[in-house]
Amino acid sequence: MKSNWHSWQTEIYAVFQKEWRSESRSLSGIMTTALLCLVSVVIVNSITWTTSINPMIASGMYWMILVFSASISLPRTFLQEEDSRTADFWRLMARPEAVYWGKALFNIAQMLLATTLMSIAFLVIVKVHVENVGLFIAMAFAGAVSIASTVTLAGAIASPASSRYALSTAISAPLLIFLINLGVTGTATSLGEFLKSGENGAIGMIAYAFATCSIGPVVYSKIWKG
Amino acid sequence: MTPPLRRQTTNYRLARNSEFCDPLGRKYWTIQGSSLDTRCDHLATFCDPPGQNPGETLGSLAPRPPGAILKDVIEVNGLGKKYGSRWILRDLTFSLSAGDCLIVTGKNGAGKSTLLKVLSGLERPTAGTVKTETTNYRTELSYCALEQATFANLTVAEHLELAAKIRGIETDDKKTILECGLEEHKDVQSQYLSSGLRSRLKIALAIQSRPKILLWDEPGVALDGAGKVLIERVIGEQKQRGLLVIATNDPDERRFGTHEIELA
Repeated sequence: MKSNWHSWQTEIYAVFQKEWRSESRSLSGIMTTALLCLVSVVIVNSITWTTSINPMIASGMYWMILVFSASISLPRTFLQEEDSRTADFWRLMARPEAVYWGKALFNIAQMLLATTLMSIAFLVIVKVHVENVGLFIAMAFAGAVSIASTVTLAGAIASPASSRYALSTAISAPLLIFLINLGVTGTATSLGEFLKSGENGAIGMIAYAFATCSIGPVVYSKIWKG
Repeated sequence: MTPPLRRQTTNYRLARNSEFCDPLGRKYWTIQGSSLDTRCDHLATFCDPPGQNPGETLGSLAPRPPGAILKDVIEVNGLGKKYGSRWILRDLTFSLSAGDCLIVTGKNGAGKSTLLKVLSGLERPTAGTVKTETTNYRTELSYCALEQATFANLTVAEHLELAAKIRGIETDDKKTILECGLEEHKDVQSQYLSSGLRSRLKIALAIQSRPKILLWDEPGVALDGAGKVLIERVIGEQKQRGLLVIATNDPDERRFGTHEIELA
């Protein structure tokens, strides 16, 4: 008999593996995110081609690109299941918490990958100088995790609704504003802007990610139709 | 060999209003004083002479002493389901035990699939209760739905692997694949399967856990001659193991039933 902990691990990994296999064969989510990021970076670069960009503006653009790319691509893991009528597969066989955790971990992994690629493209193409590399990496990592967990929660809540895509965006927008504020402050500090609360941004984002990851499975299990 | 028939056709009529079951109320979440999850892991039985009072209730299919505890039972009591202002199912009452095969017939839109969804727990009843004696619905109850899709980018073998892992069971997937005639297609992604092969995959997923209760919506759709043989074998095995509820209007499939109800 499998232990309860081992059983949870197996189920969560199975959901993660399913998402990974599907994504690696279709590349729809990561391509959407990567293309949005790349196009946005190129647009930012073309606008600021002749002018020097200050750390606060650069940081703001960086976070806008990340947030909008994530909020378009990440909720798909939940919303697409309803569209393709595969949601009942989970409802009949799986525990809601395992489904949520599997999908959330996949979204976090996908967001970490997208953030890494986008950050490199941003620094290289826009030619932004990083004063504090450690803080910049910490902000990018914390941002990827917190954005992914927040957008996943919004997608999970919206998934049973008929107008789920609009609802998902409506739910995630107010939740992400606080994150953007933290992210802009922290990243601007890493780019050379002197802000006292810069370092606290990364801590705040990790705390935010922890909170959304904690309540996500509970909320999802309450709206689970099965 | 065709199983002996003890078919009982009952005309299902729209009946008296069942008491509305408010999802926010305590009654919706509790039954007989005990906590009830959405799958109603309970048991029960009851009786009601079939069709004696047309317009009042659907007769029970297997009269038993009230309160008797039976193995592998579905009990449906005063079940009603409403979409918007339209009642799809109303005051439906029956019970089934191991070895039973209930055939649900009726014209399009009569509520056959809705009944199966409610029995599976995918839809909540507007009124009445559904109780099943299962300790783990994920392994003991399977629903082979007509409209349920498979994951386009996963292969047949990966579907079964995924289902076994999330159900928390260890199964012989090779045997299931062989039984369902999918051995040549086990490494093919679902999106490249024909509709008949996808139906076989859904059957494989449904019988993988060897459930006590199998709910099956239009089994023969898209299946060829060999598929019909597969249906017959699965139904025979399921009767040995537990019970079935099949929604169909196909005369070939109706002959497997031990009981039959017609939704109107």
